[in-house]
Amino acid sequence: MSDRKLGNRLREVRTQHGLTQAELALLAGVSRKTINTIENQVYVPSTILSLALAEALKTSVEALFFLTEETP
Amino acid sequence: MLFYTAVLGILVAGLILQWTQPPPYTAPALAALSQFRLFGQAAQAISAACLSFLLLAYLLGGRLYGPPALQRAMDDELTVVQRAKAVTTGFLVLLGALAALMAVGAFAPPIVTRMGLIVCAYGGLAAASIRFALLERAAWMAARDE
Repeated sequence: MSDRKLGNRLREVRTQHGLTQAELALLAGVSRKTINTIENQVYVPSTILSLALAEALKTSVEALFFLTEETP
Repeated sequence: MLFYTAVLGILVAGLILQWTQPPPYTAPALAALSQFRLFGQAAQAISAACLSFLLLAYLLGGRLYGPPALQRAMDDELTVVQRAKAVTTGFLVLLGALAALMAVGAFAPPIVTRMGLIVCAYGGLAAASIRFALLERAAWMAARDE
C-alpha cells in the first residue's frame, strides 16, 4: 500500500454553506467531535459517513475528499 | 471473531466462578481487608459487579442502561471506532498478563487459576477503560478548542 493520506475540504465547504460543526454533525447524524476530528485529519470517516456528509453539504464525495502524497 | 468470543467466554466463566464459589484465595491488595471477612467478601462482590457492568458497557455500547442521549453518543461513528481501539488494547494487555503469569508459573509455584483469570480480566478491562477515556478526552478537548 502506498503512503497516501486522505485530505479533505470539509471545513472549507462547511463554512461556504454557513454551517457550524454542530449543525453539520446534526445533519450527518454524528457528534461534533467526529466532524472536528475529520476536519483536522485525525479520523478517516467511513464510506457511509462520507456519503452522508456529501449529501448534507449538497456536493460529491470527491469534492470533499482527496488523496494526498505523504511527505516523509 | 471466534478467538475474541473464546477469550470473552473464559473471562465471563472466571467472573461467574468468582461470584458463585466461596473465595478460598485472597488477592494481595485485599489481604488486609480480608481480616474483616464480610467486608472483604462484599468488596470482592462489588468489584466483580463493577467489572461485569463495565464489560456489558463495552459489549452493548450502553444500550441496556443508558438514556437515549448516551446511546446516541455511544453509537457515534468515532466513539465506536475508539471503543474498538480500546478493546483491542484491553485484549493485548489481557494476553500480556496471561503470558506473564504463565512465565512466572514456570519458575514459581503456580497461582490459583481463578486468581490468574481475575488479574487478567481486571488488567484488560482497566487498560481498555483507560485507553477509551484518553481517546475520548483528546477528541472532546480538540473539539472544544475549535
